[in-house]
Amino acid sequence: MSRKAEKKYAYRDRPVLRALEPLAYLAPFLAAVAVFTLYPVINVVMMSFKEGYRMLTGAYDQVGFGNYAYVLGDRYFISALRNTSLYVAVVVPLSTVLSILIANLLNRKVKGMALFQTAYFMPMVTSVTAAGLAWKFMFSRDFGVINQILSWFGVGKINWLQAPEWSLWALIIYGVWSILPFTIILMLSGLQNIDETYYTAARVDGAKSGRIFFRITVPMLAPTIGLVLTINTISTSKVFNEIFPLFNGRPGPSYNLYTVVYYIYDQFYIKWKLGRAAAAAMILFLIIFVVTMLQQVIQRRWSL
Amino acid sequence: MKVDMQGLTKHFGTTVAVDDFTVTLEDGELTSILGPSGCGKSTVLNLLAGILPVTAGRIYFDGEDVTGLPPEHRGIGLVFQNYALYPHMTVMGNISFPLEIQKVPRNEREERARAMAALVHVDRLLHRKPKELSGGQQQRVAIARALVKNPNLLLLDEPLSNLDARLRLEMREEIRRIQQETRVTTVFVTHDQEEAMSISDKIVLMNAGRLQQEAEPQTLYNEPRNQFVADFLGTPPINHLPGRMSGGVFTLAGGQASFPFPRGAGAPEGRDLILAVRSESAHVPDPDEPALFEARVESVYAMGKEVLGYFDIGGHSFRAYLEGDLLPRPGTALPIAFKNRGAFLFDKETGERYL
Repeated sequence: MSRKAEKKYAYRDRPVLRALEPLAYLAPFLAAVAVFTLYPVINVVMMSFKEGYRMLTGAYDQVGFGNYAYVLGDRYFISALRNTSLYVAVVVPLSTVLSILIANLLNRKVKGMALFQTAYFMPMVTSVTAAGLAWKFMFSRDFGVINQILSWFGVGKINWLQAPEWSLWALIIYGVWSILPFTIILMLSGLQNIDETYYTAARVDGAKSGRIFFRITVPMLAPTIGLVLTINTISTSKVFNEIFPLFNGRPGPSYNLYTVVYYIYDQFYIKWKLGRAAAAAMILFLIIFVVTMLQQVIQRRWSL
Repeated sequence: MKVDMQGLTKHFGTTVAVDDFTVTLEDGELTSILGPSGCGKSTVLNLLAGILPVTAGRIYFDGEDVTGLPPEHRGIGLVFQNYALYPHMTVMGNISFPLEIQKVPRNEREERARAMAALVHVDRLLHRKPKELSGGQQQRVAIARALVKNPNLLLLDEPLSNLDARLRLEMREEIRRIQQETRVTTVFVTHDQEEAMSISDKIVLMNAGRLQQEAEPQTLYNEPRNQFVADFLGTPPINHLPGRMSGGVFTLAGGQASFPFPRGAGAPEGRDLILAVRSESAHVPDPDEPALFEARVESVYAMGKEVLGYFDIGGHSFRAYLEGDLLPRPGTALPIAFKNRGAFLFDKETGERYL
C-alpha cells in the first residue's frame, strides 16, 4: 500500500473527522449567516426587553416588558398597525387577483407578447424611489394624469397626497403596482406548469373559457396562489420604502400614515429609542408569524 | 356513426403531416390507426376531433360535413395519452365534469357518472383523487369521462403507452370489452402493431402521412399491399432476401446463391427485388417435401414453446422457426422451404408487391 493510500485509509477510519468534514465546507456560509442574520436577530430580541437601552454604552435601566407596554400604548403604533393591516388586507388580495388575470393574458401565444411581458415586468427593475417620484407626479392634484383620467368619468379632483383620507389609497395603489410584476412572474410560472391537455380536454367537452378558468386554471394554480399569498403578506407587512418618495419622507401628509416598519424606523433612527424599536419589531414578527401559520393551515385544507 | 375522411391533408408550415388521407370508419367498429411515430396518426385523430383545422379535405359524420365544426359540437369523447384527469377533482367529479358543462342536473349527472363508472369497473373509487389511483384505474376513469356524454365517436390517443406490459394487456382487453358493450364507433391510435392486431375490427396503417393499407388485421398481415406494410407487422420482423428474378430462378444479391422460385415468375425480370418471408413461413420441410434451398445454421435460440433459427444463405441472413424437437448445431446445412402463405416479392425501389 502506498503512503498516500495509507493516509487516506487513516482518515476514513476516523469517524469524528469524517463527520466534521461537511461542516468545514459549510463554515464560510454559516459564519456569514451567524454574523449578519443570527446575531442581529438575537440582539433585537434581547434589546426589546432592555428598558432605556443606549447603544453606544450598551447600558440599560432594567429588563422587562416596559418597551412593549409603551409601544402597545402608543397611539402612533396603533395607527401604524391599523394602516399596515388595511394596506395588507387590500394590496394582497387585489394584487393576487390582478396578477392571475394578467398572467392568464400574458400566457397566451400572441405575436408581440414579449413587448407586453417587458412592460408588465418593468416595475421590477425600476428603483422604488424613482418610480415613487413618478407616481408622485401622477398623483398630483392639479397636474396628475390620474386625476386627469378620472375627470373624464366626471370624478372631481382628488387630493391624493395631501388629503389624509386619500393618502392611504394612494399608497395602496402604488403598492399594488410595485408588487405586481413579481407576483405575475410567479403566477405565470404556475400557469406554465399546467399541462395543455387539461384545457384541450375541457374544450372538447364544450367548456367555455370562464368555466375553464374557474374550474381548472384556478384550482390547479392553487399551490402557486398559496405561495403568492404567503410571500406577499410578509412583504406587504413590511411596507416602508414606498412612503418616502410619495410623501416627502414623512409618514403621510399629517403624520397619519405610519406603518409598523416606519414606526420602527422612527423610533430607532429619529428618536433613538432602540428598545422600543426592537419591541415593535418583535410585535410585527409575531403578527406575521401567526398570520402566515394561519395561512398555511387554511391552505392545507383546500389544497389538492 | 359512420365516419368518412376524404382527401384529408394537414400541413404544419412546410411539413406535410397528413397527405390525401381517405378512409371510412364503419358504424360501431373499432378502427386502429397504426404507424411509426411521426407518421401522422395522432394528427388524423386531432383532425377528427376538430382540435386541429384541416388544410384540405373533408370529414363527414353520418354524411354530415363536420369539417369546420369546433370540437365541442362534434359529439366526440377523447382519451388522452396521459389521461389528463383533473387532479383537483375526485373520480366522480372527473367523470361527471362533461355533464356539468352540459348543465345536466346534479342528480342525473351523478347517476350517469355512476353507471359509467360501473361499466369501466371504477365504481368503488368514486371519491378518490386521480393521484390515489393506479395507472390502469386512471385509464378507466379517463374512458368513463370520455363516454359519459354518449359520444358518437370515441377517440383514444395511444391510451396504453403509459402502462406497464401486464396492465397494457389487461386494459387492451378492457377497451375491447367496453367498446363492444357500448358499440360506440371507436378510433384507437397506436404505434404498437400487436395492440392494433389484437383489438381492432380494422387497421388503418399509415406511414409518412400517407395511408398504406386499410384492412382487417389478418388480411393486413397475410396480404400486405406493399413492403412497408409487410415490414411493419410481425415479430420477429419479416426476413429480407434481396435479389433478382430471371427465368423462374431467384438469384440473391451478390450472386453467391440462387434457387428456382417459380411462384415469383410474375415479377419483372431485371429489377431489384426483395423476397420477404415471415419467419413462421420458412421452415425445414419433411424429407418427402421439396426444399427451396439449403442454408447454413448460424445460431439457434430455444424460447420455450418454439425454436428460432438464424440461417445464412449466400451471405444473407434470415430467421426461421424450427418445428418439432429439431435443435441443429451451428454450421450444419439444412433444407429450407417456404409455405404458401407469408412469402412476398417486393420491388426494392418502390415497395410495390409482385407476389
